[in-house]
Amino acid sequence: MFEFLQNGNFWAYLGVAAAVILAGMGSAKGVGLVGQASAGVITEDPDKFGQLLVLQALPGTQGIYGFLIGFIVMLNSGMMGGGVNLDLATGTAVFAACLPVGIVGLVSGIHQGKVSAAGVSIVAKRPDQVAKAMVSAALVETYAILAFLISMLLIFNMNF
Amino acid sequence: MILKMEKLMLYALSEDKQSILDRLMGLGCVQMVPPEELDGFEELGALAGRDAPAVYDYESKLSEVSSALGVLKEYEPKAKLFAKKDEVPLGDMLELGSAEEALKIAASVKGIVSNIAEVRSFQSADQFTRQMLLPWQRLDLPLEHFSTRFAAAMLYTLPLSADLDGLRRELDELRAPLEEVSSDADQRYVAVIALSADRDAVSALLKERGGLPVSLPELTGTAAENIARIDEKNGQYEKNIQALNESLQAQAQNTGVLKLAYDQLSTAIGSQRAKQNLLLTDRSFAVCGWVAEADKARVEKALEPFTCCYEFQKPAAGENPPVRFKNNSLVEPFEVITEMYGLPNPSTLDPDPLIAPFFFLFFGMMLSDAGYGLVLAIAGFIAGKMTRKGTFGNKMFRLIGLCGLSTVIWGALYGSWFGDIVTVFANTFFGVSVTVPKLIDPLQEPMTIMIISFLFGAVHLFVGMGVKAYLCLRAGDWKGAVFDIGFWYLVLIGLGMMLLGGMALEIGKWMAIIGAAGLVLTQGRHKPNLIGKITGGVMSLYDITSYFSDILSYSRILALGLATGVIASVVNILSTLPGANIIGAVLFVVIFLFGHLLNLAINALGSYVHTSRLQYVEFFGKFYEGGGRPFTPFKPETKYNLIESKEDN
Repeated sequence: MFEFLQNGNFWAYLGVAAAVILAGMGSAKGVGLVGQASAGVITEDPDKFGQLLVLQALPGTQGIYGFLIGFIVMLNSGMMGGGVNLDLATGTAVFAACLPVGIVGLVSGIHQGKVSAAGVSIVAKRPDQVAKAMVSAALVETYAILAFLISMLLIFNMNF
Repeated sequence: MILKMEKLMLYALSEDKQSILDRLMGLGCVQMVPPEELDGFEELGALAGRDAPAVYDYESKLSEVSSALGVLKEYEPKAKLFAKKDEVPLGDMLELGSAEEALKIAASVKGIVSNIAEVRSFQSADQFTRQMLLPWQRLDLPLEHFSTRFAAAMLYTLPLSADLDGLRRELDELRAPLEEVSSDADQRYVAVIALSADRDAVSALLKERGGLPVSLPELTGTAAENIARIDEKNGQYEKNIQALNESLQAQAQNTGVLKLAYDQLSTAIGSQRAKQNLLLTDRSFAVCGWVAEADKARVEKALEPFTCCYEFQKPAAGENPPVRFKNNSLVEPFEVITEMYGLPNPSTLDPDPLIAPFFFLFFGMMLSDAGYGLVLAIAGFIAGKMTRKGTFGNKMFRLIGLCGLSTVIWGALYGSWFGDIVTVFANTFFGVSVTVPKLIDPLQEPMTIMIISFLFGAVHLFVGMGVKAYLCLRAGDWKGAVFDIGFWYLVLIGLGMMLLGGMALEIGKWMAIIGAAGLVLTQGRHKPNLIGKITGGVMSLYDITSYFSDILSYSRILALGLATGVIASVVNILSTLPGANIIGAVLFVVIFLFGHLLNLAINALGSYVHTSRLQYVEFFGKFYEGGGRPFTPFKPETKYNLIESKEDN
């Protein structure tokens, strides 16, 4: 009953799913955390919405990276056209290549969200210092970028 | 560069106090120093008195004006985007000319607001009565005739579950007829007429059945008449409120006086606060302030007409003068990057001329789409033209414009104009294949871009290290420059050359070995004993990991560039999916605009944040010393108007 594990296509589709699902979950959690924190500030001072929106957007990139990896796999492997027929080696390789962006995206998205949510209180008390909150959050994102880069280079260099 | 600051010590006569302060405020280039920070303040303090600032009166007026402005804000005609502020001569700003009129307007606005509140409170009291009367609408008994000598009408509410027929029978025995006036989801409203003698028995019986007595307000006429009266009055109230709102709207057409008065009052408060920095005797006063060397002549010219004595002192060692940048118009926008990080120590240097080329380069490589670049450049430069020079917003807009230009250049090199829209569009709608000229395709050759990124990163780091070496040399610390920076240059360049192979490999190997040996020999030089010196030297080689991670950090340039490009092409694929027909064309426009706007917003933000990070963490980490205080000159603090800039201010 586990024949599908021998199917390359299954692994490639699983990879696309993993990249999009995990990274998207990380971003959703992160963006959500910042949104909750900013709502409190906006009730006091609605003019800070713009600055807070920027902070809230920061943990959203992981989801985009995951989506991109998923999309590139779909484009390069022919999933978009429908004529996809991958052998087991290629399929599992695609799956493995999708893991960095998925897993690191999940974890870093949540943590970047926490850092940005803490930055919300910087905006509340000292709105002129918002750049520092942004840079702190960007430090977390570095690892999502590195993972994205590796996933992307792996997939670019694959022969479908 | 950081402007050199000098300390102005000014001694003048008390009678000139106000006019000298006004002149200095007009100049707007002197930052007052509180006397507490002066050397020997303790001895001076006994001699010199201090002004108690009289701000209470101004502040209470300011709060009147500002609350009137707050009320009128929602009635004001919508301001145009980038509307220019009025320019007011300095003289008008220092006089409190508009204050009286503004206070009158503020008082009338306040009056209108309290009128509205009063009408609203009448209105809600009436509505409350109406709610009470509503269930009794069908009762055709005038409210003032509820009792006669022998009988009285009693009003009760009964729970819905009450057995009305049973109750009626029992009441019949007491000769008290019951009428159900109305009922709603919760209860029945009933009226009972009882003889005066039976009143207590009837009310006891009703209470037993869960009845609650109701008393209506003392009004004349039936409930229905009163409801009609209230409705009529309500219309009147609404008209009143509308009229009052219209008069607020009329006031809001002319908020100029209020705004001018606001600025005049806050300027007066600023001027009063500045007086705290004066040291007074009976006939004279002294004040101290920071002035940029370049502004000395202006200060001298302004003080010419007064009987006074002043001197400029160079900052003493250990003193921390405020930091003020002066750069050409290409570098000036990049000052905001440094300002956001925190100003540099005034004894170091202004990093802006060094940040400018790298920020320009990296931002362009990260966003790397000529279409997005055009949007940013046009928007940034237009907004830059509309805003006043020297302000934070103006610098930010010009920064966006410059970064947009860089993005156009890199986008053109990568052949990316809103992604691959030209190719996709021509293919879908006209069936022709068009290729956009490009020098390098990041999707085909990501490794090339990555190596270019690392090379730019290495240059960036080397410049940062060079600045450190320069600062060491300037401070006379040649050992720091040669040992800490020079040897690392040898090691890093040597290792880099080894990657090239051939002759370079041999030379590079020896450079790296010599550099590493130098580091081992010198990096422990601050340690007190030999063992410390050796371990310190050897351990310093471990720093190679931090140089590697610094350089690897520049791989984000490639990653962000790829992200922009790929998202853009995803948008293009989606926008052309509906096909080449009328509906397809409409959907194309919608998806194209929305998708690219979203991509531009997210990736411009990402590029800005990550370019800043490369400056703050990788570049500043090599040499930057913070701790500068911003230059905050004594000048009119205005919110709604601008001061006319004139030489003789």
